[in-house]
Amino acid sequence: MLTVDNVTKKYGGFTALEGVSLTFSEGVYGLLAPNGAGKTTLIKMLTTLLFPTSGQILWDGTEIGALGARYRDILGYLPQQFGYYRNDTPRQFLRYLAALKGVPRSRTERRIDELLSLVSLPDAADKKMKKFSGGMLQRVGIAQAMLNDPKLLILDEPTAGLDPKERVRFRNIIHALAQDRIVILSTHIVSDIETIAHQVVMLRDHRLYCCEPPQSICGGLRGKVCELPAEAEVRVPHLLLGERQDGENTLHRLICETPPLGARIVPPTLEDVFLYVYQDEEGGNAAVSF
Amino acid sequence: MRLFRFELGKLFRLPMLWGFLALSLALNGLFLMTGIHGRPWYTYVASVLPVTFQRTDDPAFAAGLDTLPAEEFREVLRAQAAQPRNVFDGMDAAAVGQAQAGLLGVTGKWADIFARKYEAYQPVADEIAASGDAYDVYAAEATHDYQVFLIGVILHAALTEALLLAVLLTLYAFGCEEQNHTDLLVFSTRAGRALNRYKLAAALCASLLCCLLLYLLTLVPFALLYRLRDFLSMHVSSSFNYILVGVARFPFMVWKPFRLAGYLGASLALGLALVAVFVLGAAVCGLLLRNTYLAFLLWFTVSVGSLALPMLCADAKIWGGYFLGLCLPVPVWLGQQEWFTVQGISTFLPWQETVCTFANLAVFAVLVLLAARRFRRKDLC
Repeated sequence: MLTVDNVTKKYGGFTALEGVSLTFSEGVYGLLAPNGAGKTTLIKMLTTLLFPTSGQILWDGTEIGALGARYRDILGYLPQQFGYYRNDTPRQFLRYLAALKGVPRSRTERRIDELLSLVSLPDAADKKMKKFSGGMLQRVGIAQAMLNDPKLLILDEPTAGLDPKERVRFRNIIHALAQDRIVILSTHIVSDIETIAHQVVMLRDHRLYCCEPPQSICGGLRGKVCELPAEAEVRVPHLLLGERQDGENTLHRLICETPPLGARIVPPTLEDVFLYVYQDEEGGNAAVSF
Repeated sequence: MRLFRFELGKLFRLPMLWGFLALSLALNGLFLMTGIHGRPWYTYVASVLPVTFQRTDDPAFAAGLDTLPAEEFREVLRAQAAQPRNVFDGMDAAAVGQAQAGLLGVTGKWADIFARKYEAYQPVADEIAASGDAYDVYAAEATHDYQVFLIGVILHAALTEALLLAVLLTLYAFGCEEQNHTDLLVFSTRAGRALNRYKLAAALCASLLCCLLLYLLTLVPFALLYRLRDFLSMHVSSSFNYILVGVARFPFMVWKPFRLAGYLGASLALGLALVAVFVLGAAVCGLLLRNTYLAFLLWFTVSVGSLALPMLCADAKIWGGYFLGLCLPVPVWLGQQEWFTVQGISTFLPWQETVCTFANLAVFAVLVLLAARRFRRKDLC
């Protein structure tokens, strides 16, 4: 079990995260927040790249700094900006990462083959990565994160650069992997976590906003999200979430305390919650609160 | 061991490394050609050694010359060796020291320290005088040129290239993760920040191997062109050899009776130690800054500063600063041509270059440990 205990991170006078407390057990955790909210800072602290200014992070009750290599041994991490050696092939790169992760030499080749198959790259295993598309690189990144069969898998913006088919495939992989490990998935692409996350962690104003199952988070807006024709006049305070085409009609999707006349109430989605919670930071419509 | 091999592989796969080595060897080839005008003389002296033997005070020397065909070089050599000299015989080292101290203008406590160096040299001078090593013909009147060409040009060029390459390789080893954006990935693995240990070991190993390669590929052509093997048994303290302090000539006052083979071997070994010092120095810059280019800038600034320090201190008569400046790696490298000698006004201690190189090794090793300790606690953004 991973515990974040009242962690604060400051850079000089700037507070990137303040008083965050969380507990992670097996399952998928979606870390959802707009850019600059502190997602990457939290992830870098979980991966020992940053040190908390105050508070502590514990793995099974022991501070991760004290565990050192033993903690990193159970960690798999895909950074937001996945770097690689341009002239290496995926196989060469994964061999190096396997050595860094302490994967026994006898298991390395078999594990690399398994993972390259898992991410659908067996045919490109011996091609130089400098010729790879963003999606292919991201798949190599996912494979390297899984090399040591980690108990704690942390993925920072893992679906960036993947096409829709690859994203679905990726979600399925993550879902399967999460049976016996903690997966922390940081993203601002709501659909990535909507279907697979057991819990969604939201950060706001550099603090923890909530850590709840998606259904519970969406439940707070039940009965307040509605759709109505674009030309309809809305006289109550509301937040315009977006618009969509319904046949020949354009529909506005909005959120308000009391749905206006003629509006059709729809089930709220995680994206609605995201837009509602971060409406100030997105800077579009006037702030609405209920 | 596996990580060490991976890190070493990264360095040896660098095209820059092979390009640098190729350019260095091409440059050294040009340097080798600069001594070509002296080659006929060196070849002649080397070729007559089997009949003349090496000591000019030995009657066999003149007798041997007589057996050779009459030619211009024979007469020149006969004239140069006509009055065998032992410049160490009756040498008053203290007087030499006073003459050199006068050139520098050193006074007070540092003048005493400087004088003690020459006091310490007196027994060595007596030993060399008694042994008659100074009677060695070496390359006769061209001995100084040969010695300077071998140590001051060829070996110095190879060492300079090896040092520069060592710095570049080390800075690359410590900066390549940031350059490739792999730093977050590698430092969050089980190896973590301890990876720097393997990087340092790989940089050290690669630098020493490159240095040996440069030595080999530079000295072998030199040996073939300039009959090095025939001179290896000559004592470097031959009366024909000398060092220049300002415009004044002083005997080649080595701290131990060296034959050229031993002197060359010691120079090569100390050069390797200096490579290790430069690797450690670059590792400190790399660990502090992580960015290859910024780290190079820091290293370059410090190196130029350490070169300027003795000069500025000498001008300002700050002898403590002058002495300290001379102990830094760059001035030690610069004095390579006179290593293992009393080195005139460039040293205050016996065997200063050796002492300073090993002291620098210890100091930079401590600095690397401190920088690595800082890195272990540093946020990697």
